[in-house]
Amino acid sequence: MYSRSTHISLLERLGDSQDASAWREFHDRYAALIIGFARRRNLQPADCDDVAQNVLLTLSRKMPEFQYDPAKGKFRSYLKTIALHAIFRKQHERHGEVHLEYLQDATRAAAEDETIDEAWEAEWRQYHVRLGMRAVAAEFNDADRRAFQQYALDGRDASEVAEALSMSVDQVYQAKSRIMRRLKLLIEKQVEEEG
Amino acid sequence: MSNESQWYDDERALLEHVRHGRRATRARRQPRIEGYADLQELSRGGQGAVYRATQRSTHRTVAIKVLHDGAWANEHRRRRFEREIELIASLRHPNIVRLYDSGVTEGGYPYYVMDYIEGTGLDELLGADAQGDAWAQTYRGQPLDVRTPSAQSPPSQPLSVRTSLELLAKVCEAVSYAHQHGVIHRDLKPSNIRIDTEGEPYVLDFGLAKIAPDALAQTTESTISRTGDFMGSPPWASPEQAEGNPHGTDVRSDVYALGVVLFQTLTGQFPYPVIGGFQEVLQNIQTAEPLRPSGVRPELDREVDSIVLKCLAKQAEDRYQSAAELARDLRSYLAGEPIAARRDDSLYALRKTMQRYRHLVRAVSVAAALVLLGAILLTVLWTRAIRAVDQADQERHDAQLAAQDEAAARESAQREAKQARRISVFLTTVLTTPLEKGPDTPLADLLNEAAAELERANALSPEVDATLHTALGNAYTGIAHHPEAERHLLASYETWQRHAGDDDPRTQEAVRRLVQFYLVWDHPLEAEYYRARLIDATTPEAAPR
Repeated sequence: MYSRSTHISLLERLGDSQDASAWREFHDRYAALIIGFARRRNLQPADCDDVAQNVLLTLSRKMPEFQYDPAKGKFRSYLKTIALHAIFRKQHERHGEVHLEYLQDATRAAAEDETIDEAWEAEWRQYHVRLGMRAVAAEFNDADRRAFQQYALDGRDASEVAEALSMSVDQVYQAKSRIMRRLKLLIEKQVEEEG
Repeated sequence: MSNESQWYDDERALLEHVRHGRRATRARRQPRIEGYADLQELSRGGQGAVYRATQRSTHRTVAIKVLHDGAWANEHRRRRFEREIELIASLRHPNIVRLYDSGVTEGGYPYYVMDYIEGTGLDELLGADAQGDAWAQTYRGQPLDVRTPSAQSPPSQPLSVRTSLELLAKVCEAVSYAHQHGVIHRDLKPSNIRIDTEGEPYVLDFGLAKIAPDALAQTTESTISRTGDFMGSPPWASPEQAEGNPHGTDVRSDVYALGVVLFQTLTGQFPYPVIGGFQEVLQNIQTAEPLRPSGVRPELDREVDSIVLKCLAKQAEDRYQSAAELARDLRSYLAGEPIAARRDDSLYALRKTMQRYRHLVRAVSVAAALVLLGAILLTVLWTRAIRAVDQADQERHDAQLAAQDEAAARESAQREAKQARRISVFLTTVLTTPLEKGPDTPLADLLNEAAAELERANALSPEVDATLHTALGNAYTGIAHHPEAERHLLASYETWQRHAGDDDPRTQEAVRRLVQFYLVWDHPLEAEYYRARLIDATTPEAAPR
């Protein structure tokens, strides 16, 4: 059903214990996602880094016996579970025994803030956008990227941007639509590969 | 799956995601550091990011460098970082950017705080492209600090030869000062030299190359990004650094990097091609013959060529042996005086002669090496001993006369400095004589002259006098001139005895040396006589065979 996508082969290479570049790539891909999620769960910045490190270590340990089977569940929810465990563990570590106030705070926070699922979903999307933008940054030339940034992201006037970059207004529009199209396609593929 | 297939189809929502990502990245990169406000990112490199900030307590503008390594949990690493930083912070030199605070950000990244120097980097002054593509960086993650600047782009406005040399002389003096305090830079390059609005240079990031990659290697993700134990930035790395042997680097690696910077400052180019792959550049550093500066900028003369090429010698022992030597030559050149680099020619001739009379010469050069070694070792040991004694004196003093503390400390420091200077002047005179007299002077003549010099010198303190007698004694022993050696070793012993008494450790050391000497000379009776004067006669050297 799924071809051996970059994502899956990366997981397999990670399982291959000593494939160092796989580890690096894996960290590049997922560290920010886990850190973002942990931050949404109100952890201190230093603790977020710890959580990310722990999650990635756990994954690398489990990968040798991890058989990727999309039918059994998505990698995405698998990663979420591991991340949540790491976060709870860190919170427990920080607070030692769970005090009553802390419990109340946590309950209130959980009720008032976005739910865990929403937080995870938001970070997950962010992760895909980031990955896609990385590819875009490598694929498009400097002028296109600048045009996209100034016109589409900063919301500056197309003619103003065109003048600043010595492009035609049309080229600015094109840069935006080409990058957007490419980004969508990239994300679509990423999501699909993930299973 | 219907839900996920939707969210990226909406262009506005997707754009908002991209914007959010940018903001988040920026926020994540903005570290929070207690005691400092208004952080503004100035630059970002492989090792870390530099911010301008205001110190809350003093309202002073400072520069803060935050290193990348996130996994800073290891207590051992942290202590090591702090120790290194402490060492660097103790450097006080008008051309070294001062460091005065360090710690760990709230996000767990190590940082240090230094003086903010208004001005530009030497790299910008040289016209290297300093403007990185910030936009691409945001999404590409951290690039490795492997910059291969273009060798073809000449500086827009080349500095005058004089300005360049004066600038570099100051930089060399600063680096030399650091060397004398046990700090090797390891990553000298134009971007680590800042020029203030008055044109005064400041060297920064001392020792960072040592702290940062080591610390980095500790975090799992970067262990893999490092190929070998490379330290430094490729185009400025010395051949021994390029070889990837961190133990092979010493002050002369800094001399090499200074040579590259000098070459760049004078010509706007690198001495050899630095474009291409990492390995290719490393290969060039190790094997490519550097260009002559005058070949690129014809107004440069042969002496400048000699200075630059001496720095860029592939073998460390063919370079200037210290940044101070390089600084001295730059100053000599600027003052119109003869430079040492050109003496290379006569040294070369000497080496040739030596090859011809190899057998004869070998004995003499071994002796010469011994003289040098003995003299240097003794000076070092002696200085250390004096310092220890002074410290002991100082402590006694502290207890008794708290009020006069400072004056006494200053006095003893001055005394120490004066004595060190005297010794160094004397040794320099003696040890540089061979070059001035020509290669044919026999070593014994030189030593005799040194001895005569010592007789004539009358302003020497007993310590200096005794130390020099020991050095000469060792040197004569080295060339088997035993009667002369005996005379000087005895003189040394008598001076210590008179000055410090029989029980003083320095007197005892002189006695031990005498015992050793007589054993070598096969004079067992004398050896036994002096051995009896040792308080602790069980030292291995003195123990009867």
